[in-house]
Amino acid sequence: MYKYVLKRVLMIIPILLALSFIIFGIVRLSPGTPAAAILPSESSQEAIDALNKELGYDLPYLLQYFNYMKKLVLDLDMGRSWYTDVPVGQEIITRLPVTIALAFFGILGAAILGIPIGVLSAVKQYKFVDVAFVFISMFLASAPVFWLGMIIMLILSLRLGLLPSSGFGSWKHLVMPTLSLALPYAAHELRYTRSSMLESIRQDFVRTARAKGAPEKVVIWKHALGNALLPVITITGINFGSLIGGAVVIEQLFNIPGLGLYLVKGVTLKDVPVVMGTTITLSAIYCLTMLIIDIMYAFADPRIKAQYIRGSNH
Amino acid sequence: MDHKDQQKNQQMHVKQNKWHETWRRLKKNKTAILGLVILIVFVLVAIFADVIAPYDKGIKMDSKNRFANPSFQNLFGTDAYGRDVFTRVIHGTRYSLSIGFFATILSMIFGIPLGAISGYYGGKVDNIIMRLVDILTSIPAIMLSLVVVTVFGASLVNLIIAIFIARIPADVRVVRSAVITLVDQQYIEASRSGGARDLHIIIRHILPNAVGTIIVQSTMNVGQLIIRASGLSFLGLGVPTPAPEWGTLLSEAREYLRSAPHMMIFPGVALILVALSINLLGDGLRDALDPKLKS
Repeated sequence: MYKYVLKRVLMIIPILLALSFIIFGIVRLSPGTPAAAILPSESSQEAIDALNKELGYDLPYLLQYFNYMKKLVLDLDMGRSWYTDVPVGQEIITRLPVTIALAFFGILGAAILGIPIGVLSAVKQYKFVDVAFVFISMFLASAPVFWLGMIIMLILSLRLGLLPSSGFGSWKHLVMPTLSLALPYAAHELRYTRSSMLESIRQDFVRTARAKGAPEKVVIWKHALGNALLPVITITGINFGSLIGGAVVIEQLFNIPGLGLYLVKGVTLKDVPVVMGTTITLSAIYCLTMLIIDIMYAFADPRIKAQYIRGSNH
Repeated sequence: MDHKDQQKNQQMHVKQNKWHETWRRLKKNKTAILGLVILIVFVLVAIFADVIAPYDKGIKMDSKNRFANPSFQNLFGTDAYGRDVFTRVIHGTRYSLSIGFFATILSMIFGIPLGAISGYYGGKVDNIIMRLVDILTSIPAIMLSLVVVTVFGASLVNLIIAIFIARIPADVRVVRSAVITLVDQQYIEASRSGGARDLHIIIRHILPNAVGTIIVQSTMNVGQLIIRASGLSFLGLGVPTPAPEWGTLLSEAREYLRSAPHMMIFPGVALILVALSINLLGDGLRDALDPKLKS
């Protein structure tokens, strides 16, 4: 089993290299040079050329990429912002925990809301509760995160005055962003838990558990859900990419000083080092999360485990 | 009528039957039909936008009539410049639907051939294409879109480019997996031993049988890409103002959330209705095209 884990961990290195190469490559297509953006517009051509040379912009593309990655890997140096001159790496390190907290609570909230309601929905299939929740989840799954965020802000903050509408600092600031981020994913998880549970409760081992005299609660929440949870883990992984996207938008809406806000500002100003550093960091986090989910999955599913052990014996 | 014609007729008949059957199953699915009806209404609104609400009212600024609440005169109220929100939402339908539609088509233009080649040939070709797809999917879609916008700037065309590029990998995967299930079928074998060229087999025998999967994926894409596009517009990185794209309208509404909530409610509801109707239709189509999957 550890072989599988090691293989998966090693496989991530070429992927990280390739994705940074692609992002670097696309960004290099942009018109204009760094010096032209950094220096005041009345600067002479010589000054611009000199600064470009100093930044290594005159080197061939591959060499530039190599230099960038060397600095990034060795001392987390991602260059300086063209506009504020603050090192991008430093900014990312201070902002990263904020975005990670947001994404983590978003996933957690989605699971807390989506999974139990999904189970309930499956147990009460076609009853009023089920129909109502399925309808609500369809609505939520179709709604854009930022619109839900605006509605929540309008009700909880502007109308009822319960929570601060923007900024970051206390747990109170996190409630609305987390809720708006979690709702659409809760809706997805509800739908997947429901269909996975419907399949699970019709299987033999559930009947066996019942026949043994296990209480209904144990049968549903332990036996049936235990088995139904695997597809839900997968869907959490698949949705993590759009969750990061959602976090970017939500940070903008609630003015939370995370990576998303930094990135969007970078895109608006065409601040290339900022965009590059942030997208590479967020993509790397995405890959690492997928890796963790894959490994968790392998441990959780006896079929995969068995398959791998059988496979490695040959 | 010679033998070949007869065979052709028979083929046509089978084909017609298949679509007939699909439509029959779809008709039974009430939620899917509801989705279809809502979607058709929006398509009609997009086509007849000028008849429903002449665009003058959507651009004419009226400083005396700012932030007006919904009334008979301004069904959805007015915005910060006194423009009629109803007119802007109606005309926004054109933007959102065409962004979703064109981005889906463009992504499929790349997704179908790449997926078909990958699935049909397998081996080395498949390996190369799929590794590329793996790498692209390791970058969250919004990151790819944001990088594209950084380089090319925010505009309607660039928005479509930004979202369709990020969608290609998913389409390649879906088409490939549909093609793989077909490659081993006997009629493909028969066609190959009859001396047919690969291109002919892919176009005449494989793709027509993968059409169901492609249609379902495309339908779902339209809905998701409309939402994604509105997200970029909301960030100020999509269709620039004063164009009435729904995400742009919502971005404008953000500042006046307290004083003029109608500015955000109506474009948002329109957006959700379109996305919801497309999701319902897509789910229904999937069930109707492949009843085996439904369970």
